[in-house]
Amino acid sequence: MPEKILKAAGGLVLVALPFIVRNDYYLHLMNCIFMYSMLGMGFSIMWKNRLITCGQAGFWAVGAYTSTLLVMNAGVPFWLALLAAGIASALVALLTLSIALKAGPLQFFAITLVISFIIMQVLGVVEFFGGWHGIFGIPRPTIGSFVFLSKTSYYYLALFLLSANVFIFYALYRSRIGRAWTAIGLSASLAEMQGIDVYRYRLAATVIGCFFAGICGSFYAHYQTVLVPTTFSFQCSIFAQMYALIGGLSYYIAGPIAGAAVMVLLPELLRPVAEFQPIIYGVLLILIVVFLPRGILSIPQRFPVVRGFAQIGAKLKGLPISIKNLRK
Amino acid sequence: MTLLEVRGLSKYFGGLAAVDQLDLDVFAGEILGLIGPNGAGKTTFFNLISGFYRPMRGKIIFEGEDITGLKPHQIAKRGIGRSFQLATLFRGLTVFDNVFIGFHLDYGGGVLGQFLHTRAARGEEQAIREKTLEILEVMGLAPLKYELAGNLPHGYQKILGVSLALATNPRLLLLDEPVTGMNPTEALEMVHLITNIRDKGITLVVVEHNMRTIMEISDRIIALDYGKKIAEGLPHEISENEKVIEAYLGKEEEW
Repeated sequence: MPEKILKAAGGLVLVALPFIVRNDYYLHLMNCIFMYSMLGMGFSIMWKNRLITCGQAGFWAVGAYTSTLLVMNAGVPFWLALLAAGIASALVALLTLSIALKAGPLQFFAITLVISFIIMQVLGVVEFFGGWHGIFGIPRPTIGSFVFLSKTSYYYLALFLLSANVFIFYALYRSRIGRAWTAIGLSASLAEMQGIDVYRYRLAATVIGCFFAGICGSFYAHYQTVLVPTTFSFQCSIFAQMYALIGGLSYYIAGPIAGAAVMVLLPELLRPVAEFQPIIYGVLLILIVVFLPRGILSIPQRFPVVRGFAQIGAKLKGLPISIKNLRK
Repeated sequence: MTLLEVRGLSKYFGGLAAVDQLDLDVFAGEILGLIGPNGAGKTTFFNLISGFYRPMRGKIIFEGEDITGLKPHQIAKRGIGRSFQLATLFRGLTVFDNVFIGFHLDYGGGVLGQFLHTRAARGEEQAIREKTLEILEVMGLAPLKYELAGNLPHGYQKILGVSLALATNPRLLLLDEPVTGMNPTEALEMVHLITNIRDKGITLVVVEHNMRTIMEISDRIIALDYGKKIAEGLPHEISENEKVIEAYLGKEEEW
């Protein structure tokens, strides 16, 4: 019960935030966190199946460009284009990665990397997609006569998209599909022996992850109103991995969100020492990875006091969790 | 009644015949012991039956249906379970969760219901929880259900491996060296469990190096050497069979 109250309070704070923080810049940071969380969660859903994607940027780009071109060239309403962006991204994933997955997880890793490069190159070279100088003046989303202009309005749009993403992933992880993914992640051959069609479940996770990368891309395009192919570089795919890694790889939903928050806010905190920023940033990330290999969300488990509280919590729930298990 | 029919099964690794023109029948309700020296092709045979290897020649017929070349998950679905030589488990999970997660094939309800966590889906989940407890109870793992699988002693890990195979509701169960590496008490416990499984109507094929155990539990034994069947019969016949003794100890002249 206290957990539920805590969650409800957290949700309320998130909804009320634009009224508490009346600063456009901070809201912009929040929007970035929400956006990057979605990219990180896409990585996580594949990681749950022990697939490492290096192509989140590519599928992000597919979503962004699909949505932009549909709205600008065909006059499709934003909301339809948003959905189309997700579907386009999922389709590209289905067509290309279904072959990659047949070959195996390592090949999957390599092919996502290559596909991401190809997508960026195609977007830059083909004039139809705006070329290397990009596309400007992308229309903003509208509902009726209301136009999304302020950071606050975008904040709610981003919050809505992230919530939808979180809910869908949560429902999947809770279901037998999520359990099959867990099994595959722990031992693919044993999962296969238990009757799980490893290939199909992995493909499903991949397509779902890429679908949300596409949705995220659409939001990005209509938020920035500018698209440049180099945004969707290899670095961006690595960042998607970093969000999940820093938050904690075993926290499939909360991990990427926490990681994205750290990665977005850390540079802001380091602003006073701007010239050393990249160095401090780098060192801090290395320290996190070395000393918190299970991510920043594992901090409560690593400190005895907090662990004590977790013990009491477990007792209240009637779960015989021993300290030994918690440490694992 | 013949449950599993293997005809002319062959698998080569390079020039080496791991399984060579093997004909073999498994009858419903029996425990079939499979013995042979190291490299005789026993584990390869299991990998062929359970779909991890594709046979190069031959047919595998299970309950009258040709299952040659099917994928492991399709074979599991048709009712062939298998435990591995090295206890293969979901190590990061508790004993309970191992078996619970292993019950993939039991879900009948639609994906949408699962996704929305409907009452029916929750009921289905509850039923599987109960079935999980049932298996743990039968296998004597119930007191350890909250332990992490990776923390269990070797003997219990092997028992958990068999429990996982049972979660697929098999009609034929392949056990790869179930008592190897166990102390005598654990081995005795395993023998007891294996006969229990048979008494429930599940047919077993057991590969084992521990001769005392295999002679004790098997209704029938087949001996392999170099991927070929060299002897077949009742346990006492096998233990006196010249070819088998030769395969294990070498020819008399060599001594």
